[in-house]
Formats: sequence, structure tokens, C-alpha cells
Amino acid sequence: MASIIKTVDLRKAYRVGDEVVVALDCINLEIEEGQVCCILGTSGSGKSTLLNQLAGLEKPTRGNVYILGKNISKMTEKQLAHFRQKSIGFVFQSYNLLPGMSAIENVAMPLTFRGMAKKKRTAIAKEMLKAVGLESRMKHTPAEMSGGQQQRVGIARAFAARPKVVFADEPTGNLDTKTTREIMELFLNFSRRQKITIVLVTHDRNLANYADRIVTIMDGQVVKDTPNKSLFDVEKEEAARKAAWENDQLPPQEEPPAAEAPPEHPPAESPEPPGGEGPADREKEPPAVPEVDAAFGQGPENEEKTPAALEEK
Amino acid sequence: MRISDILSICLRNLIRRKLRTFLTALGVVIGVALIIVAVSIGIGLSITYDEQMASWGDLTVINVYNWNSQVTMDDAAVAQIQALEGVDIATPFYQNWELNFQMKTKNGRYQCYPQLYGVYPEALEKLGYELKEGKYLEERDKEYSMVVGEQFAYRFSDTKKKRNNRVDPYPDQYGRIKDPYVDVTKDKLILYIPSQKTDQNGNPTGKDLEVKPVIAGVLLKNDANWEATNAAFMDISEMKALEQKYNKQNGIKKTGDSKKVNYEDVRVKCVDVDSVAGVQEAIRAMGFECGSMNDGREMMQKQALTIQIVLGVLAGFSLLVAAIGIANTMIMSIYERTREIGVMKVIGAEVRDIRIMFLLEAGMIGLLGGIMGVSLSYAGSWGVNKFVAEAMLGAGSRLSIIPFWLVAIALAFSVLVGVVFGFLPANRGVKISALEAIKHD
Repeated sequence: MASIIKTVDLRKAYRVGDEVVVALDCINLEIEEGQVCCILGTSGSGKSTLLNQLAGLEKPTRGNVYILGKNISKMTEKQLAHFRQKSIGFVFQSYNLLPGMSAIENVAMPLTFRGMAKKKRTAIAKEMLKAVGLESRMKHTPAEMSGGQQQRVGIARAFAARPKVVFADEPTGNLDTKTTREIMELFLNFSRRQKITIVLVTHDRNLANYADRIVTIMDGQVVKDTPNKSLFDVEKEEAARKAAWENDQLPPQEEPPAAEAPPEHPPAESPEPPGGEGPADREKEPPAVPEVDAAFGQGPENEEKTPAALEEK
Repeated sequence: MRISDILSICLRNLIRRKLRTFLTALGVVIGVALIIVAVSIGIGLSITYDEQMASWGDLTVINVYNWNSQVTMDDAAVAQIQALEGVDIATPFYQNWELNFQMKTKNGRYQCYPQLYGVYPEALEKLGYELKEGKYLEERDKEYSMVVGEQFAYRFSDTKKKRNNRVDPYPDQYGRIKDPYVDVTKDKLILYIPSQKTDQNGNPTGKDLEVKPVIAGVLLKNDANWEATNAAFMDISEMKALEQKYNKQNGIKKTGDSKKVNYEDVRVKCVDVDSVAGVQEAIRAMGFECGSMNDGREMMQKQALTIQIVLGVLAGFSLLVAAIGIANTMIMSIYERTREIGVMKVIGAEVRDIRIMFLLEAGMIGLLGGIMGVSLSYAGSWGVNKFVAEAMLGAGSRLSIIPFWLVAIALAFSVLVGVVFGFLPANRGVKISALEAIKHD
């Protein structure tokens, strides 16, 4: 698989008074297309700075960031805006929906910036909201929704414009465990269906377990970069195994999930997620959002398109 | 981003903060309303003044008076005035106060005192006196030809009646206007000067002078001109000839100063309104007093302008305050929406979109204020007309007139104020970093 994000000798230093604080140094990172990559780090580790660099919100002090082969560090503000419209989605910790606008309008916002006609973008936004299970809340404003619902809208917004990469900054930081789980499953579903690369920044190890790959940052440097079998996959396997067991059949999915894991990566060092009791509990539950699967393929743009077709596109 | 979408976002933002939008716009409302009312009063005043002036008389006519002046107003002086630049015609309006001109019908039953003026024969036409019938005075076309006003005939009274011996040219209770006793164009009339020579007992001893004038023409009634309506005119040289004849008949000999002519009343018609002031100045320089409607007009125009300037300056200041209010509101709004703007940038808004958004929002506050201000100004204008103008100038008069162009300019101006004063805040908004969006708080 081709790498979609690439950083070369990325360095970011801030000047605080007379002191120069190096937030990032010598980051050389490649993220492959379709990968769910978690950037894990404690507060002050530089993980947020890295996200800012990757998403082009800040210019690096040195080095370059390439997304889809384009050097976004050299782009003008206008080029960046166009690039974001086309290729990048963003999910925020505090949802950051525009107040005073309905869920539909919020989801349609990136399309609005692109200049898409209202009818078309509303149709897409409705599909997206259905996909995140908010059919009944389409006309509601953010103030009328719970945190989990708001974040679903946020995810729908991030994916509405069919970006290549979605950046998520502590997307479940303000949510309880159950909602966190639902939200993360939404993420993974979207990512898998549309082959969208996800860069997830968090300090939460549990959250990291949903990723294909965990990049641990400390003091501005990558200290650990490990592949990880996504919890999502684990669950899927488990569910398939269970179903097969119940049907008294051999589980046919036993091989494919293994194939789905990035082949370049060596087998996971710790097949059991190191999160503790959380994942263990979850494994017993069935996948929480089956409707997502159903919703995909129903969108006007999705019709008769397999993920492979989308990838080609 | 489409303009229609930007517009819709702006509208939402304004509606979301209704009270603030309204209060900000209120400043503009007051400013715009004041400016419109100020200008409308200026326009209304000058239109009203001009209408009033026109009803009082011709703005291009100067009256020259010569009461107890050191200088003599004789034909030479009139000729001198005539020669001034911008003068169309100058003519004496000569009246002889020593002689008692009278007119009567041939049978003597109907008599009147004509207000008889001696003028240069070509003057009446040039002064703008219109003919109802007949023709103007022509030099010696017939001896003692006269031109009279349309209602001159009503001057005659019936000597056989003691009471109720006049006919008025006004409608009676049934709305009819009675005919005068005399038809000046058909009846034979006699112009005469009764002798003032008397013996010790007061009985006349001299001989009356009687001539038979021809009424050459009748002037059209003109409400703004009493003389054209009621007086009688004669060629000044014929009038002087009459005097000489009378003096001869009564053995009066003029000597020394009394022989000198000194016209008390000379009328000067200028080619246009603009030359009036200059001609007046020149006449004053010759040592005569003079006046015209233009004096009043200039004064009134100055007055109107003063009112306009005072109100306008007040309005200007209030609009400036309103503009600062808009800038303040926009800056506050941008502070409030810092994160929102950051989010918009992160999800793909262009700098241009955000700038247009804020400029449009400021412009819309201006426009809103402008529209409300225009409505308020109509109310204000109505109030001024109803309560001030009618009290000052009488019913039906209008002190404040709002032409369409004034409304258009006011609206355009209020939008401009919004946009100009929204510029600084908009630039501030544009500079907000996309990073604001991902700040945790």
C-alpha cells in the first residue's frame, strides 16, 4: 500500500519568551492509505503539535509534510483551504459544531465551502446522518443534542466530503465509555468502507487499541511505532467465530481478517490489547452500530460502488 | 463558497443575536433618519420659499426707490440702469401725485380713480405682463392710449347710489362673479383731471382737463402682480404731455426744482435670477435704494441652508457614533466566534469567504439600520409637515420633502458605513488561526 502521509525531518520549535521549546524534532513518519493510525502521547508530548503539522494548521519550523504527494508545508493559505475542502476531514474533541445550525447544515458545511448546491449537499448530509444513526435528529441544533450525538454529527461532517484523510483530535475526550465505543466503531466503519486514512490523536491507551498502528510520542519524538490489530477486527473475528460456532460451521472469516491486517507489519507484539478490562468487556458485546453497514451503499454517490471501486476513484 | 450561502450564514448570525443586531442598527437608524429629515427640510424649505416667492411676484424684477435721495432718478439715470449688464428693461413707474387723475363714462354715471402709471411703452411686455386682449402700448399709435388690468373695470363705482355702489370681482354666495358696470373695451371713457384751482370759498375756478383715451389692451389677471390686475398704464410721454396741457390750462408754471423729474419708482427686469444680485449692487452703487424678491430668497435660502447644516452635522455625528457601534459589535462578534471561525477554516473555509462574511454582516446591519431609518424619516417628515409646517406656514404646506434619490442615497450610504467600519473587524476575523478550533477548554 502506498503511503498517503509522509513527514520528512519534521521539526517544530516555539519561542516562549527567550527560550526555544522544541515541540517536535526529526519526525519521519509514513502513514499508509486506509490505515487507522493512533498517535499516542501524554499531555505535552508533542502529539497535538504533530497533528497540527500533519493537518497543515501550522507551518513546521523545518522539514516538510506531504499528503497525497503534495507538500502542504509549502502551500499558501488559499491552496490549503482548497486542499482541506477536497482531501481532509477533521473531528474535534469538543465537537465544534456551528451553533445555530441544524445537524444537516453542519454536516453539509464542508460541501458548502466547496460551493456545492444546496439540494445536493443536503441530500448527502442526510445520508451521512442516517449512516451515523441520527435520522431522527437531523433538524436539531447542537444545543439540542447530547455529546455523543454531537460527535456523531461531527463524524458525519468530517466524512461528508469524502476526504482522503480524517484527523481526529481526542474525539472521545468528552464522552463516557459506552459512547466512546460507539463513536470509535463509527470511525472504523467509515474508514474501512471508504478506505479513508484516519489519524487519531489521544492520550488514552484504550482508544489506541482501535487503531491499526500506534505511534507513541514522547518529548517531541517518536519513541515507539507498533502495528496493532484493531479491536474492531478482533471483535469482528470474534463475532464471526461466535456465529460460526452457533451455526455449527467452520468460521469462513478466519483467514480474511488476518489478510486485512497490513501485510508489511509483523504480527502484533501483543495480540491482547494492553488496555485491561475495557476491551475484554467489550468483546462480549455485539457490534453496536449495525445500521452503519446498512447505510453505506445507499447514499446517492455510493450506489453500486464497492469499496474497491471507491479506492480506484 | 456561494454568495447565497454566505448571505444565509450572515442572516442567521444576525437573527441569532436579534437584540444586539437591533441595538447596533438603532444607531444607524437615528443617524440616517436625522440626515434624511435634515436634507428633506432643506429641500422642502427652498421649494416652499420659491413657491411662495413666485406667488408674491417675479423674482427677476427689482424695484428701485428714490425717496429723499441725494441723487435724481431721471430718464438719464434710468438709461444708465438700462445699460447695466443683465438688465432686460428698466422703466419708471411714474405717478403724478399732484394731479388727481380720474375716469368716468361718457354719461358721467360711473366714475373711478385709475391707478395710472406712466411707463416706457415697450416695458409692459418685457416685464412679463401678459395680454388678455388687445395689444400693448405702442409709441404714439393713437393719442392717449391706455392698457388696463383685467379687473380695472371693477374700480368704477355708481355715482347714483349712495350705498352698495361697487361691484367686486369676487364670487358671491352663489359662486357667481358679477360683471362690472363698465366694459372698458366698448364703453366710451373719459380721462380727466379736475382743476384744483379754487377761489376763497373753495369753489373750483380752473378748467378741468378732459381727454378721450383709447383702451389698447387689457392685461391678464396675475395674482402675484397687483398692478397688472388692477392698474392702468400709459406711455410716460403722453402722461407728461397731459400734465403740461393741464398746467397750461390752469396757468401753472413749473420752475426750478419742481420742474425736475424724479421718479420715485423704477422697475428693472433682469434677464435671469442669477443676475439680480449683481444688478442690485450696481444700482445701489448709483445711490438708489432697491429691493427685489431675490433679497428675501437669498435670506431664506441661507436660512434653509443653516437649518440643513445644523441638522446635518448633528446627523453626521450620530451616524459616526453608529458606525463606531457597528465596528464594536463586529469586533465583539468576532471575539465571540473565534472558535467558530477557526472551525470553519479547518473544515475548508477560505479567507475570502470569511472576509466577505463579516463585511456582509456589517453591511447588513447598516442596511437594516438604513431601511428602518428611512421608515422613521418618513414618520419624522410627516410629523414635521403636520405639526410644524402647518403651524408655521398654514395647512397643506410642506416643510419636509423626501425625494426618491434621497432615500436611495441614504440606503447606499448606510450600507457603505457598515462595510467601511466592518473592514477592520473583518480583517481581524480573517487573521484568526485555524488552530483556535482545536484548543481544548
